Amino acid sequence: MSFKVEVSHETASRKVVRARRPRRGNTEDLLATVLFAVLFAVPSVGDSYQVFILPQYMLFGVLAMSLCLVWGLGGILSFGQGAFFLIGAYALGILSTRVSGSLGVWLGIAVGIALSAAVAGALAYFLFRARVRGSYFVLVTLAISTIGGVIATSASDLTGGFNGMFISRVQLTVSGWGVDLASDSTSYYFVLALTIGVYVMLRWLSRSAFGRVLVGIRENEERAEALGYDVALRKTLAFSLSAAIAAMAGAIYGTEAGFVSPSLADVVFSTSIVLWVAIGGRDFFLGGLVGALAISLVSEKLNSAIPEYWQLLLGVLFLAVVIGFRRGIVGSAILAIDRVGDRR
Amino acid sequence: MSGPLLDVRALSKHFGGVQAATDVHLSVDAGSITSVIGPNGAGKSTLMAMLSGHSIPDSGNVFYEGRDVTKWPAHRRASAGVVRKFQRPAYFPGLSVVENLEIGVVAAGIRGGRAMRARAREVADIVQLDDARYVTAGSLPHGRTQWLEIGLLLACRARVMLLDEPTAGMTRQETADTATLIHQLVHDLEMAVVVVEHDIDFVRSLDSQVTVLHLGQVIATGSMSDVEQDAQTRLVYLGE
Repeated sequence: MSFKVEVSHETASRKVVRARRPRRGNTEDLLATVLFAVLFAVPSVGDSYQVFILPQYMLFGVLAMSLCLVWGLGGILSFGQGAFFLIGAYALGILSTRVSGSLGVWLGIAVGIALSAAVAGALAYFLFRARVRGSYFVLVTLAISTIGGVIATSASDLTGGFNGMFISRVQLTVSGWGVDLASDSTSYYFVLALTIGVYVMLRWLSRSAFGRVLVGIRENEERAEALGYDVALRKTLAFSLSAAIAAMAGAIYGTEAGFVSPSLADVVFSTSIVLWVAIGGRDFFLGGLVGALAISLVSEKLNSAIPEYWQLLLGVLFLAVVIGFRRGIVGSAILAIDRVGDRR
Repeated sequence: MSGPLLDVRALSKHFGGVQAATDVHLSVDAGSITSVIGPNGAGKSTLMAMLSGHSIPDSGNVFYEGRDVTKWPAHRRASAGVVRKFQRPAYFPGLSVVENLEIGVVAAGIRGGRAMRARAREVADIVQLDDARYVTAGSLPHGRTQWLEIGLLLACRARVMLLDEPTAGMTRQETADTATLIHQLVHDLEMAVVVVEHDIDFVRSLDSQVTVLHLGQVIATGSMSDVEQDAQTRLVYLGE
């Protein structure tokens, strides 16, 4: 199918800045490798508190990456990730105490993931089919979080209601083999492996045909649809997958933190997730991960030092990102590194 | 294959009290160009939308390859091969030209990095964006975004291209080049092209079958010279 089209061209119309082929952007993976290496080294050099708390922050990172999938790639902002995180945590908490042995644990994780994916999928499908998008969709996702919190509070027989629910550290075993999360160092490495796994999977997904089309939908939904893509279906799949990842992170978070309460679905937490991703850089999965880790670590320090001003500071930082710093920390870093590389 | 590739029978559509299309017939063969002209408000865009699946007619049918596609949504029609180019160029502004084309290539069912890149490159050559492959599409000059969108249609293996004012905002030279490009696509790829245009000189240079619409009705069909002889067309369209 090759042929030559003999057309003369005005030089003016051909005057475009000749951009070189970008070196296949692996800067993100490079930086991620550094981050994972540092995290891997923490238990050998850090103190026991860090080994205890960092897995929870890493799981926040996984949660943030689930938002990067829909927001960064697909352009779908969601304030509902907290609710799916909550479903994951409660499902594990409820089923691991009611069904004995490793079956209860696996069942808890599986049910949480399946339930989140199904709720997200069903809801998103009808909304996207009806062409609900943009800020209207954001409002619905806010409602998802609120409803999740209300159910968690009112179904107190199952969830412990407003007081929350204690979850003991579980064992993830298959016929005797597996990991016992009761040990802080074991669970640290387990959560690190999980985080790396989710990162690698999402990076692969973003390069796949599905990921490219999702970006196309973000860039111009009408064009993507008129090229033959069932846009509503693809957005639904992305949203559902993102809910599943959030639920998985929530389940492990539940057993890591040992406690889950309805506050995970409240507006403050849902907003925090969006903040992590916005400040870290929504265009990169690493941005979500770094945003969640950095803000959690810093807010832990500053919350005790300047409790009144920390939230305000965070708010100002968020405004700055929204107004003039859209790429976020990681996005800007990657751009700067790539520019230096291109100049060589 | 027997019969036309795209066969439009007795399409009618009204919006409130406005009759946007009344009993419109159109028959499009593979390897042919059909131009639809008419003054503002003649129903050209409505017809285009009914061909692409963006609008469902009140009555009448659209057949593609003998199948009734009247009620198929736009994405289904596009993946079957009837693809529309929008009046305002629609592409993926934040992505590079080659990334744009790759999204089209994926729609044609081509998978795998190497095959995808090769095909995107091929299409970039055809629409003469080979020198701008790694340029962000949003920074291309207007005329070239029109060609980029035609490239997207090529990439997804359109068999019927619906071009809604493809030369809008183009220089005279670009317009002439576009006519040449369309002729090449029709000739080399046996593509069927339906063009809605305002620019009479452009339509003349396409040397195609012409359908004249006025107030939602077909008032003349034939070659451009036939149509220009038609008294009613001269009256409503050419203003004589």
